[in-house]
Amino acid sequence: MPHLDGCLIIAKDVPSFVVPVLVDRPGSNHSLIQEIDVENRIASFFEVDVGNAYEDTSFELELNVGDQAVWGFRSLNGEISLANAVTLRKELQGRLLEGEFTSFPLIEGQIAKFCNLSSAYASALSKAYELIQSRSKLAAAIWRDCSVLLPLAKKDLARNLPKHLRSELDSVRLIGTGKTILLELPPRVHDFVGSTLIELTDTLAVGSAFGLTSYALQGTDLGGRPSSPESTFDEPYGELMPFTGIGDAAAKNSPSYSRVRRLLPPWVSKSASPAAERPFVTFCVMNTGNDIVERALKYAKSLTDETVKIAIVTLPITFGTSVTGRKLSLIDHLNSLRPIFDYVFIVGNHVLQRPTGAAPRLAASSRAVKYVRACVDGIMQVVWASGAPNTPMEFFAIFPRDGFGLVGRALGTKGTAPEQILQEAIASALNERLPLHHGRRLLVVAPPHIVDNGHILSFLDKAADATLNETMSIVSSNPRAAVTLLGFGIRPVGQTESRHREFCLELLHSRKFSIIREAEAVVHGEFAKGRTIVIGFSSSERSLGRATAAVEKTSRKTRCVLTNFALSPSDTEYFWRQRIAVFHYSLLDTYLDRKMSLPPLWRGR
Amino acid sequence: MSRRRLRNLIHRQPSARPLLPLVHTTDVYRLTNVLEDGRLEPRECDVFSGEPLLYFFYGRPSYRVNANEGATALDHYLPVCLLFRNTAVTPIKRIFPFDSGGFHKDLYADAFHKDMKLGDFGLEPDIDTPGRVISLFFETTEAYLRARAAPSTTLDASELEARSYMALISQRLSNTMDNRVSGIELQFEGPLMIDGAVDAVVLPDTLCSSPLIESKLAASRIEALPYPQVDLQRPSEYVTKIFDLCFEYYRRSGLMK
Repeated sequence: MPHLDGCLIIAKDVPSFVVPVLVDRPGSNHSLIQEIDVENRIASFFEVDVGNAYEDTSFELELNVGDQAVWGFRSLNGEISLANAVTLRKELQGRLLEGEFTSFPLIEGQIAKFCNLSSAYASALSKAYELIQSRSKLAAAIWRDCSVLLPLAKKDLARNLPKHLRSELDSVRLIGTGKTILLELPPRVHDFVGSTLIELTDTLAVGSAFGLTSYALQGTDLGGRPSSPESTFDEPYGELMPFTGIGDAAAKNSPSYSRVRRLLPPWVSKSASPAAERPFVTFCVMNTGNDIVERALKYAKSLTDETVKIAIVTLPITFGTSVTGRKLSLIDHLNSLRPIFDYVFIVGNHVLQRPTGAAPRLAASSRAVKYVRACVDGIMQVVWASGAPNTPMEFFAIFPRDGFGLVGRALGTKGTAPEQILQEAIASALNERLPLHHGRRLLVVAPPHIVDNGHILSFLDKAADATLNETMSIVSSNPRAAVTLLGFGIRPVGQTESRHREFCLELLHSRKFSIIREAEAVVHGEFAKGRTIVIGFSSSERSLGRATAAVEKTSRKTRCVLTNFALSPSDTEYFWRQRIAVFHYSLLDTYLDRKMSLPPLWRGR
Repeated sequence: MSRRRLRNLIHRQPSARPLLPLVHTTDVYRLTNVLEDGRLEPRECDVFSGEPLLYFFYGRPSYRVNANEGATALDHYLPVCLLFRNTAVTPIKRIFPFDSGGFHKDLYADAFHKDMKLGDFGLEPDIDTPGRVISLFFETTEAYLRARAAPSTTLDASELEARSYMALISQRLSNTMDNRVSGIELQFEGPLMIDGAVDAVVLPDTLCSSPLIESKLAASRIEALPYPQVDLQRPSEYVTKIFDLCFEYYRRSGLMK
């Protein structure tokens, strides 16, 4: 006859149920575990190879099939109680009501369920859900739906189904959305329950602990909406309000129909409605036109304080010079968007990249759409991430509202090194007036294999050390090998010669340029392929003469001056006769593509 | 010498997407050690003796539940399933389209010719290979996860190993949850660092309440997916729960519809 030999203890720093281990005879290596029936009697023993992983017990007890089963519980201080279910219930019920287990809501739930204390069970479930949710919203929702409610729903359904359909219950899925339990049923089960009145009594009784008070049924292969009521979801959502064509393209609106786009978590059905009355974040996509800015401001003023208001402003392709020839101070102008907008993101990336080719403006607009979408997606990934801020105030506490925001984005392939994708994302975020390293928060959004890559973590550490940035990373729900970089709290700097030089060097560095020697007016360096070059910098037509003179003094064959203003073709030609390529910094890639053999020319407006 | 018919046939197939996590099943005690050491150590096994290995199943928390195979191991009684990122387990040592242990124990003898050797079923050790097996024999990732072989797959008569495998995975087993016969097995020589390599872990809720375990999981940014321990008395009772948890995690991570 098997007798008690010890207990399997799952965790020693938690009060918990233990698994009594028996042996068939003294000294035997055959460890046995009881199979317990619904009346708490031993239905059989089955052998488990536990090795030495259990603790011996001094309890002397012999057991056989048909006997009252033995249950075990270990308190936090290591005391083990072994008894039949009735006796152990009495003991644990008292200790539960005295609050001994309040620090361990999952264990509290186990005990309440074991003791059949429904209200204590509901309260423990609710606390456990909050606890898990504080660590991860995703894990909490899965635990609630799969570990707690789904087994009950299957039992409830099984009671209502004929035998031949019960085997199909393995494919049932349960999703708690808003106040509704949505059950996805295999087609034959759905057809059956659709024609009969079913009662999900136990599921709803426990579901109410999580605020789930009704249910809806849906066939998995039917592709339709749940029969009733309309499904809702708990997660926060966003809204994208386009004020420009780029905004419409980012919102995927048709050209003839501009509308606010609702931003839902990717795992939520598009037909589902949010439980929240208002969006957690509202994005307004605009450009720098005065009338557009005014319309956006008017719209943002109509929003409540319960939504985080974010302006995404796409800059025009101006090469720093307006149509009338005046220098633009766009960034300063955009300060007018405050304090109505909490954040103002500047999308100027499209200006940086090759304003040449067949249709440079169209290509630039397409790139602007990409960066607007990256900005929207990056922030929504933050909102939907585990442990995300729950209120605008919490959001503001993490992401500084002063200064401006920048966005960078790069897409790689399966084989692209994560650090290369990050480098390209940084390069795409560079802005002449907004130095990324003057920001207060830098965020990388990428799939797990990039976010957790050693190079990326090291970059974030270095960025945090070397700049004013605090750094963080978010795992994207999109598995593509891509990086979105978001900079917050970036203060604009003046349009000075030194900033222009610093910016151009950032730009050159992102193109694998390394400095060999620095002089006051020029920099000697080389690109990865080994060709040396002398580079001068000029941020105004006044300083251009000085810059070209300094470059001309050097003996290098390859010489250029990077400007932040556009040159006429005749001026470009004039300097090229002196073998100096003078061009706007945005044409750098074109210059490099031509192997630095010709000064690039902008196609003009 | 092993035949390469199946390997070559599989290699010609497109790889089904999305790529799934690699699931390693262990027990509650080993999990504590793994989290403390920060790495998973390979272990000796009967099939490839003298060669310590780590075993994974592609996407599935597959493990033995049939009591008629002898004593249930602790990792089957109180399992812990670690969901590894598919990019983290590299280089892959071997891939088989089924549990190699089952072949070794002759559990598949009904479907295979007696002259067929385990090596005849060895596949290209590449992370795209499981997707290629799925394309040919299951059509979709979801069908593979649910162990539903594609009914319409036609195979040339000369593809002996492929036809045998098709017969094996099309069998209606008495315990349909023991789906190791079609669980794609990957082997790794290890040891394997877990930091940054594990996305989630399915574990008993008691273990999930442990401050020690919780702090280690949080430090390694591993999602904890707890299953209820107290009402479990036989492995077969909670296999479904573990499958449900894994599948729901895949769905909400965008890996399954």
